[in-house]
Amino acid sequence: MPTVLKDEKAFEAATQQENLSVVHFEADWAEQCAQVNEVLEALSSQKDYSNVKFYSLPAEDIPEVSLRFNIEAVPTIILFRSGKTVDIINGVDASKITEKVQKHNVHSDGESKVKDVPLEERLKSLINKSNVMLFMKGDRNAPRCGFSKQTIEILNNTGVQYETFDILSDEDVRQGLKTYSDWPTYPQLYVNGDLIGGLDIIKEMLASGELASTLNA
Amino acid sequence: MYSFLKKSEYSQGSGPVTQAEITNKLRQEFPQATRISVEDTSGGCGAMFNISIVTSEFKGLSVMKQHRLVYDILKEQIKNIHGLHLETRVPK
Repeated sequence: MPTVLKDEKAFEAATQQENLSVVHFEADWAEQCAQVNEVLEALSSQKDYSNVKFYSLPAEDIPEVSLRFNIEAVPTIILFRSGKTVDIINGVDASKITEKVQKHNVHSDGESKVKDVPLEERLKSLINKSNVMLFMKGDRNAPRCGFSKQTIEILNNTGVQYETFDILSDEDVRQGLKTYSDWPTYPQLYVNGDLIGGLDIIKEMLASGELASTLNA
Repeated sequence: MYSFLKKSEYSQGSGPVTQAEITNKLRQEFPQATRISVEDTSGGCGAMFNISIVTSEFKGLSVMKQHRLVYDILKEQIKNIHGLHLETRVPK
């Protein structure tokens, strides 16, 4: 089973390593967490991942750490290297966990090139990726939150072309965009690079008849 | 796939966000409001709120700016809740 991190000190020591460390924020009452531990156990026994360190952390017992990473639900698996968050997986998704451990186990320079692009530039290019751009939890086929789901339904009904970005897949964008746009919640809808707002505003525009014209600007 | 942590059990500070806390903050910042309604729709868990504010202090601001103003005021509270529905209006 993954090594249990008992306190903040242990967490710091584990994640500061240069090796890829996988930290599973768990709760012993959540069935899905037992499943994730099995997945991590299986990965740890594979030769390819002999340099990867696997840990579990009882989220409710170490609030200082859990709050720092805004852990709202379990299981949440965060990958670290040298104290930096490398990736996050929400929920028991064995294939995603495996894919990400595999992806980040690579020590190539190619990886660091992507991370070196300043966040603000990344945000700007993401916002302008499509005329209508939605930052949401999940994607249009599998929204991961009620607000995001409602937004997708409304957008689909308008028939407008749009693209989405899953903020659950990238913690840097998730937090960075809130600051960049001075808007604390998701989903966030942008048209031609301008923030329109969240679900409440979209619903109001729909009711007042402004939505179609705003989206097609 | 996912189980929600009982945030109120381990949050630091004075526990979950309350409807009273939000209402008081809004009353403070919008002294001219003709109506402030805050409803905890999560059954008292402080996780989801419906907020409605009618005040002349919104005059001249776009809906988005009105929402942004409220979000700024409730910055600390929003950090600790799961979500909120916001309705802002100018008195007729």
